[in-house]
Amino acid sequence: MSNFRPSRPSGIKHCRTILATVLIGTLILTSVACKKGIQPTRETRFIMGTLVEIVAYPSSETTRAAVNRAFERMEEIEDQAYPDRSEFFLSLREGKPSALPEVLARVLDKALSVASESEGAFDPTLGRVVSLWGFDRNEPGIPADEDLAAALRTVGYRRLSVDSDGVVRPTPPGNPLWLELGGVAKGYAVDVAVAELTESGIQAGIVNAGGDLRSFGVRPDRGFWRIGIQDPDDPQGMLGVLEVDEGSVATSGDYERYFEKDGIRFHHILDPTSGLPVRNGIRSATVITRECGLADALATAAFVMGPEKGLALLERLEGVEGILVVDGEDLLTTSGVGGRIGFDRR
Amino acid sequence: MTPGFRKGPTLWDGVLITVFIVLTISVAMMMGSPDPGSVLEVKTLTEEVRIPLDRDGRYAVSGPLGTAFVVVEDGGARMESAPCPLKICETMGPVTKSGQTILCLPNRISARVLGKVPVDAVSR
Repeated sequence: MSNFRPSRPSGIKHCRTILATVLIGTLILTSVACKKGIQPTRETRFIMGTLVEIVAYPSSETTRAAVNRAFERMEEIEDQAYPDRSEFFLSLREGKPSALPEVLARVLDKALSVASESEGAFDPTLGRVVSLWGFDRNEPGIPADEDLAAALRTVGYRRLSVDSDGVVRPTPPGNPLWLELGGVAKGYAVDVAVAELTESGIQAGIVNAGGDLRSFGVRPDRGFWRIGIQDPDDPQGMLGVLEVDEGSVATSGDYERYFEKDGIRFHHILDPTSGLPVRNGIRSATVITRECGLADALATAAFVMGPEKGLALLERLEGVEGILVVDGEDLLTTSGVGGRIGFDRR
Repeated sequence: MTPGFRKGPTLWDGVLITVFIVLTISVAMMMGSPDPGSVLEVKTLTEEVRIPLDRDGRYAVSGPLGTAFVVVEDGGARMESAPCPLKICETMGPVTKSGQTILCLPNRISARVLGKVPVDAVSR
């Protein structure tokens, strides 16, 4: 009789199987738990007339402290960039030379650069006209024709010079100058916040100031950032989703601030030549580039310039991409947008 | 008859299957846990409250301009009335899905449906 017997699964062998199963299961659970564990710090604050959200990875006390510092940097710019808070603007309105606050030097530089590139479609001297419409005070209304005509005489980005010692001078001297830097300052503040976060050692995050945003670093678990582009026809809908690594996205749209009178919508993006809300078929202009301050100003410029000229401007500038939503037409995109975005309509 | 080899399930097989089932359910629960998009997070300059979207009601929210009223009904929320001049916030609802937000900038009130959202931010 042979000693050989068909092997019966022993208790030990079963234990090994169970142990292996448990180990594999544990690995799966751990990986899932770890994935869920990479949570960001998420803070919001009202700054510069909008809701600013900072998302920074990973969540920790160090990150929270850095986020608070980033908010403080943005508030410092807010304190200097708006006429109701800064003597700099008030002196210029009286036609007097005024020393440019250091924090605004780069803001004004970018504003004048985009004004030049867009041949005045974006114009930082539109402040008197903006004030007449009242969007900045949340008291909008249609200005009288004669007031608008007088205000337009103060507009022109060549009506100022900046000395090497940082003094802004109206040109010709004595000419009232109503600077309006909000179109760049918000995006620039986003750039400053991102710089603060990265200098503090924060590895990845996104700073979003009312839809003008900048991402930095590699997003944990996904590797890239998904940025929705708002549908102009649906306040809660998205037109598409853009996948970006690091960079800024800013949008100007006719749905952001507006009022309606006699069935006509009057929005806040004003044409520097007429002083009236722009009506050229564009519903929104989205710009993708490295710096948010630049994206912010270029989005306004492209909106004002219209579908053809606006797209041509964005196409011409290096490192800049854009998406224009035109009423009743397909979306217009620059050649480099390519496969980085999925659209719901196109 | 060959001795010793039983074709039917053993006690160990039962244990093994149970472990598999428990693990599978656990993983499924962790990975596919329902999106907690059923809560509305309302923030003002001074307060932060969370309202379940299944708790119908009319909620008063105070901002610097005065009191706004957020209505929760049918699993969503909307700004019923606000003391701001443009009333844009009143056209932004109802919000029902995670990440959707009602924002009243003049009155410094935001109301966002919490939960996992498909995007990191929305450019608007």
